[in-house]
Amino acid sequence: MYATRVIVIALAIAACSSSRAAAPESHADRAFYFWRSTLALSATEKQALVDHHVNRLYVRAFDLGWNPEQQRADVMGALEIVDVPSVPTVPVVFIRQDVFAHMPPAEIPALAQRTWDTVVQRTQKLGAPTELQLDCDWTDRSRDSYFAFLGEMKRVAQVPLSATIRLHQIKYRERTGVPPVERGVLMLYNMGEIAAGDDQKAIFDAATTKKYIARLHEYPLPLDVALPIWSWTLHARAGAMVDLMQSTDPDELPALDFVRATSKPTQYVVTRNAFLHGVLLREGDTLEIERTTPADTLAAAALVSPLLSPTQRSIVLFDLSDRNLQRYPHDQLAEIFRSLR
Amino acid sequence: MTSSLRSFARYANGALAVTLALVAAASRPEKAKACAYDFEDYIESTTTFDPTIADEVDGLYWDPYHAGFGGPCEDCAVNDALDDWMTYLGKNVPRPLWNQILFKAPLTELVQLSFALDGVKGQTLPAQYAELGKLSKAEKSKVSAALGVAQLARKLEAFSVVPDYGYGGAPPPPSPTPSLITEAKKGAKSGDAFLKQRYAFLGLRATFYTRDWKSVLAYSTTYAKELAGPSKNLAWRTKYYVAGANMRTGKRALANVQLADIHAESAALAAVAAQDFAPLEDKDWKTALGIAKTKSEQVRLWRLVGLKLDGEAAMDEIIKLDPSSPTLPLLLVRELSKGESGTWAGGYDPPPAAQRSAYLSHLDQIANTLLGKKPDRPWLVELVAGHLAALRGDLAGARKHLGNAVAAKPADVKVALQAKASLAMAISAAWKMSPTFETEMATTMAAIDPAFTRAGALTTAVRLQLANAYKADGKLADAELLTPGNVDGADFQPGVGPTQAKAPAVLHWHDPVFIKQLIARVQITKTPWDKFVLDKATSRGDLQAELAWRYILDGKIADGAKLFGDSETTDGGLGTEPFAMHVVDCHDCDHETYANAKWTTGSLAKKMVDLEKQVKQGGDVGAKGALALGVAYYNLSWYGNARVVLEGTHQAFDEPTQALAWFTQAFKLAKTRELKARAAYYAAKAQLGMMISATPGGAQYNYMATIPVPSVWFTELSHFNDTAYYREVLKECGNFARWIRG
Repeated sequence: MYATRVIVIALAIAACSSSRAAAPESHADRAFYFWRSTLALSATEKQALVDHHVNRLYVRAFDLGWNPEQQRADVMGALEIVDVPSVPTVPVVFIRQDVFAHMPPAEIPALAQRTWDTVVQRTQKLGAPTELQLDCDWTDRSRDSYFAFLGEMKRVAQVPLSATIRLHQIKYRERTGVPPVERGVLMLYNMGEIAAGDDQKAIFDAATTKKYIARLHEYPLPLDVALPIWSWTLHARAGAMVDLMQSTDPDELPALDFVRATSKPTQYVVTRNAFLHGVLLREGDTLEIERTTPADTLAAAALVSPLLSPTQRSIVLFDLSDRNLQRYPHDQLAEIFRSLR
Repeated sequence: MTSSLRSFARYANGALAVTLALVAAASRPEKAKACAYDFEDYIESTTTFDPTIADEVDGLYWDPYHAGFGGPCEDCAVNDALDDWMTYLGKNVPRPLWNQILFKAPLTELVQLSFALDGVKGQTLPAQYAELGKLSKAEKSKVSAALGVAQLARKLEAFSVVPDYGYGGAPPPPSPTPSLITEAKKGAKSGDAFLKQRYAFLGLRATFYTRDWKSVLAYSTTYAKELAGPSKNLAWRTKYYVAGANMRTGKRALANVQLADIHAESAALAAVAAQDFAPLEDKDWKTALGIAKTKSEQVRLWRLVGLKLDGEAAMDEIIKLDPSSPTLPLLLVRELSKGESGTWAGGYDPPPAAQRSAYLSHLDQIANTLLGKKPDRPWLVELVAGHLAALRGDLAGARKHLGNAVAAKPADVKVALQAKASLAMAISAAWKMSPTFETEMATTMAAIDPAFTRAGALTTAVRLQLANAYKADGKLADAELLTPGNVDGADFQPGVGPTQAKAPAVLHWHDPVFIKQLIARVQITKTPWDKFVLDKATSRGDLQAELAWRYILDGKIADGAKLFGDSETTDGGLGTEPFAMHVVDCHDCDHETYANAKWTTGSLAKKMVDLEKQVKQGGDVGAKGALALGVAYYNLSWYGNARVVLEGTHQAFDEPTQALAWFTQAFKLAKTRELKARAAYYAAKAQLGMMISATPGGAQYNYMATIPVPSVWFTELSHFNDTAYYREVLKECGNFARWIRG
């Protein structure tokens, strides 16, 4: 009976979504991730925050990674704040899994204290944090340490905590556990291992997503939803992935004099050794574009929409940049923000 | 990257570069699985070519992107500075004392020292500097003047902290006050060339910390003469700051050329220069190559590209410019290590064999091209070519190149050792089943000094290759002795709890015939090959114990007990009580309680023989015997409290199948209801273990929302609700109580 009701609601939402005029007003908060290391918004980015009534900006404050020389967790790639955005910000700490693979349990309380101190110190210009988000792809092996860390963070930070939740953590909830935080952010992107010549999309793949979300409605935390709006270029050599060129705009490739298009519409081949955005491309390398389109983002939202329990939530788009805003015109971005309640 | 802040305070702190490497790693484009970074797969354990043979400065191996490629020269900066100062101050000033003054003493102490040395009334030398009191007046005056530099340097330190990594870093510091720059400029006009350069350099640093990059460049031009000498170390530091200012004013190409020079010439700055070197676009790289007028300058640029970004591409370019460049053998060695280990691919899993092969093939092509062009250190290129031939199984090619290398460096122990190691790799890759191969392999490996830096990796690689060959040839005992775990594979391990790994069709270690073959093989020790095969092999006594356990676990209790009675068979204390059983298991409690139990493997086997006889008596007596045997088998399984007994053997097992059979028999034989109830519950426990083992994902059973219900035996137990044992189970076993409640 419950399942039937969910499906009926889902159909109603899907039907409504097909017509903009009939679209219901969304009550979801609107947010972006900001993932660059210098917080200085362009005019376009500032305008987007205003135009889309964005409530919040999730800002990567720094990464925590394991320093094998010093045998300790260290802050890496900390944010430099040049401009203070016009909307409230939430600091995000990205934690590499190697931290919890190595961190002795006895040192976790001190790590939490130092992490919080560093957040406060490094985001001073943004004002005192009112929420903190932790981002780590924990597994069943690292969950005990990670969850202990979250518990300690809760104690020292005294602000609501949220944590990113990846699809496998939804499907294998019993194995990976549910993090002890106030909210989760469901990441509807980064579908898995990236391989050259693989037709599966790495940013968002509907078929892959479907395999993981059947039990989404049971998830015991209130969930915000993070949706992808970015693109990247896959750099391959002799059929093997070399790198992800995240700073390479797919639209700039046709103009380069050292690449030529192949018969595959999304693929280019390098014609001589040349540097591109700090990467040394070799003759014969291939550059494969993976674009996330507004249709992909809406498809991601439509997949999870029927399965989300009713709660006040945020839609968070990854990530805020001129390039992504250029590819997502205002109307389509507005539709994406309206796609989830 | 917040580069404007990150470049501060690198002066005299080589250790910083290690952290910078980590920062750099953090700034690399993320893979989709960014969290899965793994530091454990060090290159040392995955390669068989010793890179130290290239005899390069360790700093040149520094590579932030590949573990195992050495680190920066951590004490070069401090030593360079002290060397300069010692030359200036003379031998009467102790080096440790000046080290203390220059790098550690607080500003107030430096001021006090100056006053004391200048004879200011009422000022005395602090006790730890008493030795300075013995200096002549002229020497004191020189030290006092030098203290002026130290004081200014100390004042500048407040502005040179690195604020954006590590815990507790301060917020970005304010700019140095103009008075500090003025003080430095004033000092740069003093009559002493040494102090002039130091002051001029401090002025450059102070200007740098203002982040007014154009002023930095203007300052470096104005004070070019003072900054140039006499210290070469300081001149390189000057160039490093200038490169930083150029980078920040958009002159990336020029900055990269300067950084390449610094990297090549200054060991102290090599790491940070490599870190900052950053060609970005095709245009700026072409400009850099244009700025580098000579071939050797261009080689320097490609050299740093090769060390930091792409060794293969760099070698291709350097060969065109100067095939005799010393950089080529160095890059070749580095790339060989990356190719052999697969780390060049940068992924989390080893690259496919075809890609590795293509990579090594390109290196081979480069090595052979070089050999035709009179390269630097031809013996090293020959060694690399020989090793590459070895890896692809070209034994003749390997012998030729390795022979050439040894002939060119006949007295070099390292070369001889590497040649032997590479030859061993070649023999194993080209293996043929023959006594000739066996003998050559055994003698070659015996000649490898354990101190060889890649001895461990070499032994592992060679023995694995041979084990695979012997396995393919049906010589399973040899295969297993060459590489333990080879015949059954490492993916499936019985006795470690429920697992999702699929058991192989045949488990050889559970086959008495295979164990007997091993026992026979370890007793053949005639030839060098036998000795090689049996190196660190399991002893005959341990193998006989394995066989004895196998018999017992296969139900041949008497055969097992008999073999345990053999004096050659390893026997030992169990450290637990194999006949203890509870309603709810508690492994840790039992281990603690029975840690000093007197049971040995032999005495347990004897007891099991007695119990087997007891079963034959039938009735309650027989039932008790069967129950005890079931308990012993249950406890030996992964679910029981004596599972430690079989840990470390190949006979550990998960499913308590034997136990269930004995409990079932006990149930059938028992006449009294209490005994039947007990047998039923014990059988339920064994059944539960088998159900968990059979559940997909059973390895996570601790997290199972619902524990399986052994309903067959719970049903049997439910028929005995008038017994005391039933009530005991109902009280203690939640699973049973829930099932009863429905």
